[in-house]
Amino acid sequence: MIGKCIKTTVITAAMLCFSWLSPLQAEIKVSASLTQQQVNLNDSFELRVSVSGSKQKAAINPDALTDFYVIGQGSSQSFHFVNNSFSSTAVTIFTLKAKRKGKLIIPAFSIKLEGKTYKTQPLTITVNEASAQASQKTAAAQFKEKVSAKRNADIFIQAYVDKEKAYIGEVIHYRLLLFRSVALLSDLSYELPDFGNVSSESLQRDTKTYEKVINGRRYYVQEIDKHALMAYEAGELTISPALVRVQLGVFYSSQVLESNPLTVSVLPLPEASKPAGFSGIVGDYQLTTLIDDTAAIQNKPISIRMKVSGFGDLKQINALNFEPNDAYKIYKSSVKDQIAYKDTIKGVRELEYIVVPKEEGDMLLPQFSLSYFSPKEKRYFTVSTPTKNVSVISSALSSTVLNANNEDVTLAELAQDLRYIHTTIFPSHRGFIFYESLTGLVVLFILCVYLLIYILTILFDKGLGSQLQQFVKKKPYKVAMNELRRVENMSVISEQCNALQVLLYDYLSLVIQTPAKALTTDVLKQKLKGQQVPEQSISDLIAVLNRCDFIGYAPSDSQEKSLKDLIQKVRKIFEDLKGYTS
Amino acid sequence: MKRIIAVAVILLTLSVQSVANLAKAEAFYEQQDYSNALTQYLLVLDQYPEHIDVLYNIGNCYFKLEQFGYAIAYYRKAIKWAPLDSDIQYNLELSRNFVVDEIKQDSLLNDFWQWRHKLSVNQLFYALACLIMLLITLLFLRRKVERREFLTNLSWVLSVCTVLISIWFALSMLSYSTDYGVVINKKIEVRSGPSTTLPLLFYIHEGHELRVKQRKINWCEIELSNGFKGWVKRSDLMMI
Repeated sequence: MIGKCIKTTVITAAMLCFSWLSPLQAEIKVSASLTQQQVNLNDSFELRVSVSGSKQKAAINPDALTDFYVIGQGSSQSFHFVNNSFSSTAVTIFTLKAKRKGKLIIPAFSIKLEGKTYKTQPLTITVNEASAQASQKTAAAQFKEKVSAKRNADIFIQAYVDKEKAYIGEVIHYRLLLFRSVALLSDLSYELPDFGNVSSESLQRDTKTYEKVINGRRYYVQEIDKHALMAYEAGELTISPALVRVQLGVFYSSQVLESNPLTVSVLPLPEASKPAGFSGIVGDYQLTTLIDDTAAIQNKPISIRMKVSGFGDLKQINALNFEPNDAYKIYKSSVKDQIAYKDTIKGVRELEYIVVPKEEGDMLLPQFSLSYFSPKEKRYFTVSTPTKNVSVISSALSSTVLNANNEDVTLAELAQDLRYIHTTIFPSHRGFIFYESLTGLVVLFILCVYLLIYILTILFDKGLGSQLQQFVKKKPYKVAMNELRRVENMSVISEQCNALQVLLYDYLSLVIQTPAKALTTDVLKQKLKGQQVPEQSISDLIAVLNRCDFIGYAPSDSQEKSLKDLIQKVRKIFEDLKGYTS
Repeated sequence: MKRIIAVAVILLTLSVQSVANLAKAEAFYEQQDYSNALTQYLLVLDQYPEHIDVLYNIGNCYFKLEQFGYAIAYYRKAIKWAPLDSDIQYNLELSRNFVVDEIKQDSLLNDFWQWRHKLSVNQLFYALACLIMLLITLLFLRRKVERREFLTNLSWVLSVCTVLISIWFALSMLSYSTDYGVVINKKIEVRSGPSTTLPLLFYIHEGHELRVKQRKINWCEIELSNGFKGWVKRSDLMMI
């Protein structure tokens, strides 16, 4: 599948390139050649007439080939691109068979191209005696036995044709049967007869042996050979007897048997109502096309495959007829056969054509047709593909694209275009950087709060609380002095005294790192000594505490002055103990 | 109060006018009158700068007018805010097909590097914020819940994701803060300095996307993705 796609793509791409490069075409040259220089009388060979460098299709008339039967006609086209020089070559192929033996001359063809006449060179071919005749003679010489002229009652061969009259090109079925009354047969070999002026195809023979009673005698019947014969000349067709050598067993000597000769009357094809494009095809055929596409791209190839199916010599069908049109170019691409040679010749010949649309817009695809003569109906038929309209899209914005393979229906993009505009009723979808939009700022704020909470939680878990307390405690002197100033400003002496005592005890608690108020004076002294506080400071402190107690119990206006002194002393104590509060 | 009413009236008038301009632009576009559609869209863009759909539609109009440089610039502006918008991506890629200059790069490295543009700065920011909040919530939960193993593992995964997204976000922010430009004229000269008298280094063509390293009054220093540097006239570029 991939290989086929690549092949098709390469061929079509090459064709397109060549079509663009057409101005660079080389000068016109014509030539003729033969596939063989020497042939046997019954063998076919090909004559090729090549025309290169011309845009015009050459019309070559084979009427000058009087010494030959024209069995078939076909054409092919090839392209060359060498050193930036482009050339195309159209080859017309004639399949010929010689009418007589000897040294025959193929005359020069005159071909008119672009207003000028070109001539091919004449060719010679040596035609020897027919191979079958020669082999028959050889066989007879080899056998050195007397061929049984009359029918042997125990064993004989019989040749049959399915019709006595046939048209040129019509399939005649030839069968060669062996009849034997003995069961054993150890060896059998045979030589084909000379079929005369026909082209022949070997058919699959029936390998089964069956029994048949002839004149009260039972025979084993065996099919030895089966052929499809297509005559290419009107007149009496004589099929010579076939020779068969058989050996019934090891105790018997071999014997050569001869079949009956046959004659068939070959009728010419009627001239009346012969279609214009008729090329000698005989049989019964149908023509179908395989194209599903309804759209194509300008200058991009579309592959159209036609199937010719039916009964007859399908290999004769080398091309289909179509009307040339400036809207497109047509190239023959490939031929595939599915032909069965069993009881008759039947099958399918698939012809692929490449169509390249040249103009955009609606276009009718070319209609291909085949004209043939039906021996059954005894008249000519022309079968055509149906007309199909396709939209050819401009290649300006198109990429690749039609899928040549129609059996696998794959989705293919015919053209590329912009996605359509966004229709909006109101312009609301603006592009903001997150820190310029309200949502962004809210999210940022929430995120910061979240982060802060988490960080604080972690820090508190790691003892931040105590560290903070310690941080506060590092400045107890400042706190105490501030508090002292507050106490100083109090108006009621008793409250002043109480506050002073509380402040003093709190401060001492920091020094001894134990709640000081619950301690006795002695214990407090000991604790202060333990903190290396000087004796003088301790005794001053105790004195102040006692004085506070006294004033607290007996407040009077006269003691206001002594309270002020007391506050000064407390201030001094705080200064003395400043270094012990860490 | 009077002032608030006045502002509201002005805003309402502008909105009504923009809606009318949008309707006109769409009608012109449908009629394939792309010049007039462009004019209308540009009027709307004056009122609502950085409006993604309008930027995209302007890109379409320029494309249809075969001014691929402008088209690419507007698509780039739009895709900066909506990098996942398939329409913008498609049209931008289509426009790039018409750029003459082709710079061969290590495609694997380039593809990897282009990944940073797969999400916008905003999308990355919101993703990162969500991840961080989720991670913190998990860490809080981990303190309260007895079976911590699952939450710890999940926290680790989230932490790695957060780090990666943070790096991505940082790269995007770096890219966001970098100036980019698109060539809007058919063929422009790149010189070795900000003067026409200085030697001509090379040419670049319409639609070429480049990094702007520094700007002067009439000139910009540019750097191409293959490392080529030079100076171009500012009027030859449209900044993204």
